Amino acid sequence: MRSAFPKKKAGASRKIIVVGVGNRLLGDEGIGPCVIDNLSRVRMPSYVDVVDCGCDLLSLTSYLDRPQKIVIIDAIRAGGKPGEINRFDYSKLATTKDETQSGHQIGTIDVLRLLKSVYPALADSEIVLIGVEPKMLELSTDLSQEVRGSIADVTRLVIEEISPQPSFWRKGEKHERSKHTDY
Amino acid sequence: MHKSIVIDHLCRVEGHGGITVRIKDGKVADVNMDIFEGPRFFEPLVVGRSYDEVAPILMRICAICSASHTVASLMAVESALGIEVSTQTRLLRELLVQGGNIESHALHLFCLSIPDFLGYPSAIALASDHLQEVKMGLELKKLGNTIQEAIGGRAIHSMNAVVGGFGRPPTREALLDLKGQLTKGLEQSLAAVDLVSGLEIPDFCTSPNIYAALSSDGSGYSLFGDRIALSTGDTKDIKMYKEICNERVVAHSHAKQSLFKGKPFAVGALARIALNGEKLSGQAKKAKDKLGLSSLSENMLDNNAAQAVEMVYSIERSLDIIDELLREGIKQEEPVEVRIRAGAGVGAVEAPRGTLYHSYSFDKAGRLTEADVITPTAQNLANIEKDLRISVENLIDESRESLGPKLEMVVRAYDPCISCAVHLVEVNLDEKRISKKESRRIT
Repeated sequence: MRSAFPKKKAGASRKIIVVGVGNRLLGDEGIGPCVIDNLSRVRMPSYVDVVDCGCDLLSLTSYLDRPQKIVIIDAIRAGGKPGEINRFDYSKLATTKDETQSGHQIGTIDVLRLLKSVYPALADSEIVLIGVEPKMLELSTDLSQEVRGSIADVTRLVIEEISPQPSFWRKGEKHERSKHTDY
Repeated sequence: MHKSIVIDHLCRVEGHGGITVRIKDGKVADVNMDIFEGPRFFEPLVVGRSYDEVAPILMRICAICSASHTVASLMAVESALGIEVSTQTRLLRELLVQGGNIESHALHLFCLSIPDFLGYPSAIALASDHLQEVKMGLELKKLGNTIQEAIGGRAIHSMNAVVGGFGRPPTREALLDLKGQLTKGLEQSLAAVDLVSGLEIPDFCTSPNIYAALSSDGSGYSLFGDRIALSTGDTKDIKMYKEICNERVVAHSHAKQSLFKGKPFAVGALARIALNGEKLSGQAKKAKDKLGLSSLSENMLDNNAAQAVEMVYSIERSLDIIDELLREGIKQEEPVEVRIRAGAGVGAVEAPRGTLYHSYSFDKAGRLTEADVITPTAQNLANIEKDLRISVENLIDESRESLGPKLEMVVRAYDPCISCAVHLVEVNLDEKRISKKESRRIT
C-alpha cells in the first residue's frame, strides 16, 4: 500500500494520536469511530496512532507517551447545520468558565482536563477537537445523510492535522482543502 | 419541609438520569428514578443479522462493559447453536472479563465514587489534592484496558473474540508481559483497599436487600456460572432468567424494572460478595475482612468497598489464569467450526455492575429472530428507588442542599450504566467566543 505521507523530519519522534469518540449504535454519535474506520484504510505514518475509543475517552491513558498532538473526532453540537465541521483548539475551550461543578459525568473536556492534570507528559501536547454537528442521535447503526457526507472532509482535515508543516503535499498534486470552521 | 425534590441530572453517573421524590404530609409519597436507559431497545439492531454479526454490534452497547457484553453475547450464540468451546477459549474469555472488571471498578472508585466520600465535586478536583491516588486509579483502569487489548486485540470492543473461540490467541510473551503488569497492579489494588478502608461510610440508606448473582459449581469465587443464586435461598438455571428479572414497565422511566416475586433486588459486586464471598481466597479474602464485608451488608454504599475487594480478586484471578495458560502452553487453535441450525440460547456473565443476560433465537439459516438483553442497571433500578425512599425518610429534616448530594451518592454506589443515553459535547458559539455549555460524554 502506498503511503500518502512523506517521511517525517529527522528528530521528530513524538507521536500524534487520532482518536474517534462516540457510540456507533446511536446514529450520528458514531461519527468519530466512522472516521477512524475511514482513516484505517490508509496506511498511516509510524508517528500516528489511530484509535477508536468508543465512548471511553479515558482509554487514551494507553497512548500517552508524551504525544506531540491529540486530534479528537466527535459529534459536537454547536448550533450549526447537520454535517457542519468545526475545529476547536482545546486550549481555548479549556480556559473558559469551568462549569463542571454542576456538570454531569466525566465529559470529553473534563477527561482531557483530568488527563492533563495527572499526566505531565501532556503538558505541552497540542489538543484539537474536530466536531461534526449531529442531526440524528437515535438508536441506529447508520449516520444521517448529512453527517455521512462530512466523512470525506473530516478525514481530509485529520490528514491536514497530522501532516508535517507547512505542507506535505507532493508538487503538482491537487489538494482540496477541507471545509470547516476554525475556533 | 420539602414538597418535592427533583435532581434533573446525576453527576458522575455514566449516562444520566434524574431523581424525583414527592413528599406529602411529611412523608415520602413517591420516589422515581428516571433514566434514559434503553439497552432493551437495541434488539432491533440485530434482528435479521447472521449469528456472527451479533456480538460485534451488541458489544458496543457500552464501552466500559464491552468485554462482558462480548462474552455474554458469544455464549448465548454458542448455546443456541450447540457449540462447545475449548478450555483455552474459556480461560481467555474469563481473562477478558476480569480485565473489564478491573477497568470498570477502578474508573468507578477513583473517578466517580471516592470524590463523594472525600467531599470533592469531581475527580479533577480530587486530583488537585490527591494526585497520586487519582493517578493510581487511572493506572489500574489502564491495566484493565491492557488485558483486554492483549487478549481481545483492542483495549475496548474486542475484535479477536469470535463465535467458537479466538481469531488469534495471545503469544506467550504477551502473557508474560501482562503477568508483570498485573503483579504491579496487585500492589496498587491493595493500596486502593487501604484507601477505601479509611473512608467513612454513612448508613442512611441501610435496609434489607435481596441479592442475586451467578453461582458456579467450582470451589472458587467466579464471574461465571450456570445458576442464579438469590439471598432468599432460591436458585434458578440461567435459562430461567426471566423468572428473576420479572420486568414491569413504569410510567416515569424509559427503562423497564426488574422484580423478583414482587420485590426489588440488587446485583453487582456487593451482591456477589454477599452470595459468594466465602469462596474468596488470597489477598482478596484479606481485603474483604479488612473492609468489613465478612458479614452480610445491608448498606449499598458498601458496594464501593466490594468493588475494591473485587479489583484485588480480578487481578489475582488473572494471574492464576495466565499461569494456567503458560503451564498448558498456548495452542494456536482455530475457532470451533459452526454448524448452523435453528435454536435458542442464553449467555450470562457477572459484568462489573452485576449479572448480564443475553438471550437469542436463530432460524435455520442462522439469522437472529429474537434477542433479549437484560443489563445489571435495569435489574437494580427498583432497588435504587427503594434505597432512595429509605434515605429520604431517614434524612427528611435535612436541607435540599444537603440531601441532594446524598441521594446522588446512593445512586452512584450502584455504579449505574445508562450507556445509551445521548451524551455529546455541546458548545455555545457566541460571536466566535467559545464557552463550554455542557458536556455529557460517558467515559
